[in-house]
This record gives sequence, structure tokens and C-alpha cells, in this order.
Amino acid sequence: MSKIRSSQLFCILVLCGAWSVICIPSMNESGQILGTIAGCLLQILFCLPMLALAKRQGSFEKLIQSQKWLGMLYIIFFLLWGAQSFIQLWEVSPPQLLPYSSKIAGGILIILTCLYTSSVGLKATARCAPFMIALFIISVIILILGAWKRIDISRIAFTRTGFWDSITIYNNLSCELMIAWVLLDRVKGRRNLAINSYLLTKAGFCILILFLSITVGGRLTELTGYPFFMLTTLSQPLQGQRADALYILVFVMLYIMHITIQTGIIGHLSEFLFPAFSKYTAPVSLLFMLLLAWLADSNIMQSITTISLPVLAFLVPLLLRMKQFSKSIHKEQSQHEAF
Amino acid sequence: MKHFKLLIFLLLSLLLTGCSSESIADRVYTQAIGLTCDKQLSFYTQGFEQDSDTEAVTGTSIAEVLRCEESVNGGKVFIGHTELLCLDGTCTLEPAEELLFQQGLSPACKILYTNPKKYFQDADSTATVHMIRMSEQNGLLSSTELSTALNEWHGIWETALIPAESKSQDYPELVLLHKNGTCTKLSDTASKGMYWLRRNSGSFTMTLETPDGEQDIFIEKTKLQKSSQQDKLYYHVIVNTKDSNEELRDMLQKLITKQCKFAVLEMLRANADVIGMQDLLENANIEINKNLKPEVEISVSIE
Repeated sequence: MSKIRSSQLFCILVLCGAWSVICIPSMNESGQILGTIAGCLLQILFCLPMLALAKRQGSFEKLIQSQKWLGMLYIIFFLLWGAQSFIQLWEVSPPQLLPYSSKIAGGILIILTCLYTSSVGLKATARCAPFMIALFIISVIILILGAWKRIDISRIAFTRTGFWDSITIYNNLSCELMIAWVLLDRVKGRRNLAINSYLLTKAGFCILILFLSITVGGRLTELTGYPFFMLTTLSQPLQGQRADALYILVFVMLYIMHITIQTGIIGHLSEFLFPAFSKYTAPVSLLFMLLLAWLADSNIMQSITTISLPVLAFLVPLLLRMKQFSKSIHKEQSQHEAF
Repeated sequence: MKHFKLLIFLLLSLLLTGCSSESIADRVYTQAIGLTCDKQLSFYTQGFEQDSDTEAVTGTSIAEVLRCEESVNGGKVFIGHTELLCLDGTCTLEPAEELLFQQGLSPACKILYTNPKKYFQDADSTATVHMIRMSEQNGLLSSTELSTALNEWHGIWETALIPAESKSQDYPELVLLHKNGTCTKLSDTASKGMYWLRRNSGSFTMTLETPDGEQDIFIEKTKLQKSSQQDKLYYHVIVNTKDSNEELRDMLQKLITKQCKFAVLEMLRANADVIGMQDLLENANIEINKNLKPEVEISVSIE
């Protein structure tokens, strides 16, 4: 099994996190900025058991090899999350981002691309991630440049409205922590730094979008379902050239990365659970996701992923760390007694 | 197998560009759009070419008039590069909003209050847009654009500041256009006052009338500071100039103060807010209603 670098893990997490941020609805309250900061701090707290395990190699792999049912739970989580992402694509994509062909044609092309990328494997996706993040950074710079002239600081009101809501929303949309946890053993280099940097970058991006939505969009933000797309409409930095093509590219690219990582991780998990079929599990899982998106209720899927996130990404690492800790104490005691 | 996959991927990526679907010659790029909503929605367009067609098409919705426009022009209408939107008061918020969010109209598009039917018969949109932009640069006209107007229409006072065609002067005059279509023209002094009260601005040369005749003063930049205390709003305009002539500086301060006071007075009389009063009142947790006329204190300093 080939390893991926910690910098590649950082890029993967940031790209998936960026997709979650652009899908956050109703970002128009100043209190949400503080809520996002609080949400980020809460996530750092959630990550502590995972970060403690990051120093040791093979914790997660050993766990799912011994407890295969747990590995299945992770696969189900990623299948549900992927299905939800398909529903999100349908709901989120505004007419200005997929304008020149029908929505169905755009959707089919994206799914076909996902089918191809899911077959190339996690390593190839990880290699692509730094290039994608470069493009993403360029688009964020262009977004800021276009919005810069329209910023009106007086639109920010120092209220607590939206504080608690944004903590909940921010934490519900943090399924990337699961990616970090599952891939932990496959990453070489400074894993803790990658995870911490991702948490801060995602919070920074979320705060930036919130700030621009409030100061640039003003009252128009309240009218649109997804403020990020309203911002892309308002942020046109060049007089003779529209930036829509770049935003379309980034939107599609983030989505493809999001789905490819989910299918790639299912492929990675199936290497431990069903080694004979692991080669085909990624494309097959994509079809499963589509089927789930078509048949299952999105609210039920949302509830399941929301509930299972703290259990699988916080409680499991915590219990594992406690077990390791008690084992080491027991070992020390027995060594002491033997001495 | 690997090469076959690569070939499929390359073919798919070619489709993703969208270049195969339409030729650039099959598209109609508009420079100016006009809208009136009497019994039906009338849609006027002017292209970037000098002899472009300006015939109106009618329909019940923006999507319908765009479809009609496409059949008239024989190509898909692309309004993403439109520089000017002409409205006459019968059409305000809804169509403009649809054009921005659904049809890709630029948020920086200028709005002109005029009769689109008459305007599109003989006016030159390039000259109009150029005049609006130059007036904004030279401190004669407050900066206005589609996104600002939409924001103002969504405020509690539902009124936007929009340039209008002027027959008496070389640059557009300003009107306060209510969402319901009623319109209040601002005096020249108040229009100039709006320039200082809406946002910070860059450098330009201003001409002052002194007892010795006209004198130019170079303004480097202006800065607007807004605050609220209880139910009173404070607007402080800071004007930076390197001119050391005390008499001229004093004259400039008095002139700007007068212009700003006129602007606030006429705006409050028209029951409007185009200087961000609502945001300030909301920040101060003051309950706002349509009939509220807050007290506005103006101060100007020349630095």
C-alpha cells in the first residue's frame, strides 16, 4: 500500500472542507463569525484523541483488521456521505454555475468524470490535490479582488444572532475529520501539523466567506440560499472578462475531488475487509452512492451521518487511545513486578 | 486499456469546455438593456456594434422576452457584458434581480433612469456609460451600480439612488427611485453631497468659485466615517488635499458641509436611505420603521 504525504493529506482535507463551506446555507449574521471560531476550537478539541494516535503507526488499521464490523460502519458512513453529496450537488448548483447545458447534462458529465477518477486510486488523487489547491487559491484571490471594492464594513453588526446555529452547522459539516482519521496510517510526515493546519485553514475560509457575504452581499445575502454563489455573482473583478468560467471550474473540481476521496477511502477500507475485490470497490461504491441518493431520504441520511460523526471520529479514537494507555500502564506494572 | 481510458477522459474533458456546442458568431452580446413593465414586459437591447438592432420585444417574464429576443436576433443573447440597464420606474426590483441572479447580468452594471423606448431610438450607450464613469471619477456623481441599487431597494426605505438623463447639464442628475416606481429628483447640490456621504473615493480635481474667479483644488482622497450614538447618526467626511491655501480649504469645507446637509435633508424628505443609515441604526439596536427620520449630524474636516 503506497503512502501519501502529509502535505497531500492537508490539500485533500482543505479541498473537501472548501466544498462543505460553499454548501453552508444562510450565512448572513455577524454572530456566525464568532460561532465559526468557536466551532473550530471545538473541533480541535474533538481531534485530540486522533492527534494523540497520529504519533503511533498502524492504530486504525489494526483496529479494523480485528473488528471488521467497525470497518463496515466506516464504509456505510462514506456511502451515506457520498449519497448526500450527490443530493447537495443537485440542490446547490445554481443556474449561473451550470448555465450552458441543462442541469442533467452537467450532472451526467460530472458523474462520468467521478467514475473515471474513482478508478485511478487514492494515491493519484492525492498527487492531484496540490495542483487543485493552487487553482482553488487563485479563485479565492480573484473572489477577494472582485469583492474588494464592494466591501462595506458598516454592514457588520456586533450581535450574537446566529452564534449557536453556526457552531452546529460548522460541526455537522466537518465529515473531513473522518477522512483524516481513516487515512492517518497511510500518511507519512507531520500528520498532526497537516490536521491542525487544515482545521485553521477551513475556519479561515469559512470566516472569509462569512465576512464577504455580510459586507459585500449585504441584504442580498438573505435572498439567496447559498451565499457563496451570490458572492461569485457579485465578484467580477475584470470589466471586459467575466470570472464565471473559473468559478464553474473550481465548483466542479471541488465536487469531483470530494466524491473521488470518498470512493477512494471506501476502496482503501475494502483492502482490509475484502482484499479480493478491493480493485473494483471504488467505482462500484460510486454507483451505490447514486442509488442511495436516488432512493433514500436525505434527512435520514443527514441524521445518520451527523450522529455517527462524533462516534466514529471522536469516540473510537478516544477509546482506542485509552486502551493503548491502559495497556502501556499494565505493561509497565508487569515489567516493574518482574524487576 | 490505460490508453483507452485516457482517450475517453480527454474526450469528456473536451465536452466540459462547452466550446463544441456554440460558435461565438451565434451569440448576441448586449451593451445596454432597457426594461418597461406597463401591461407586459418590454425588453430593449443595444449591442456593441454601432448599427445594432434596438427593436423591443414583449413578454410576461424575463425568460420569455429573452427567448423572443433570441428568435429576433437569430442567436443566443448573452447579457454578461452589459454595461447599462435603463429603467423607467415601472420596472424596478424584481426584473433587475432576475437579470443579476438568473441571467448573469454584471453586478457593476450601471443603471439609468430614463424612458427606454425614447432612449434606445437615438442614444449611444458607449457615450452614456463613459459619461457616467467619468462623472463618478471627477467627483460629480456618486458611484451607483446594480448591486448597490438592489441592496438599497431591499432596505426598509425601499429606495435606490440612480443616475438619470439630464437635459440641463453635461453629467447625469440623481434621482431617488422607490421600489414602487415613484421617483424624487435631487437638486444639484444634494446630488454632489451624495458623493461624499456614500463611500470613500480616490483623487480628482475640484473647481471652486472664489471672489477672484474659478480655482482648482486637487483632492487626493476622501474618507467617510460613520457612527451612531443613541438615536443620532454621525457622518464625518475627511478630505485629504495638499493645497495649503487656508482660504480655499475653508471654502471647500463649507461647500462640502452644505452639499452633505442638502443631501441628507432631501433624502429624509423623500423618506429614503441611500447612505447606509439602516445598518447604523441596526448596529445601535434601534427599532426601525418606515416613518423613522433619524437625526443626522454632518462634520467635514480638511486634512
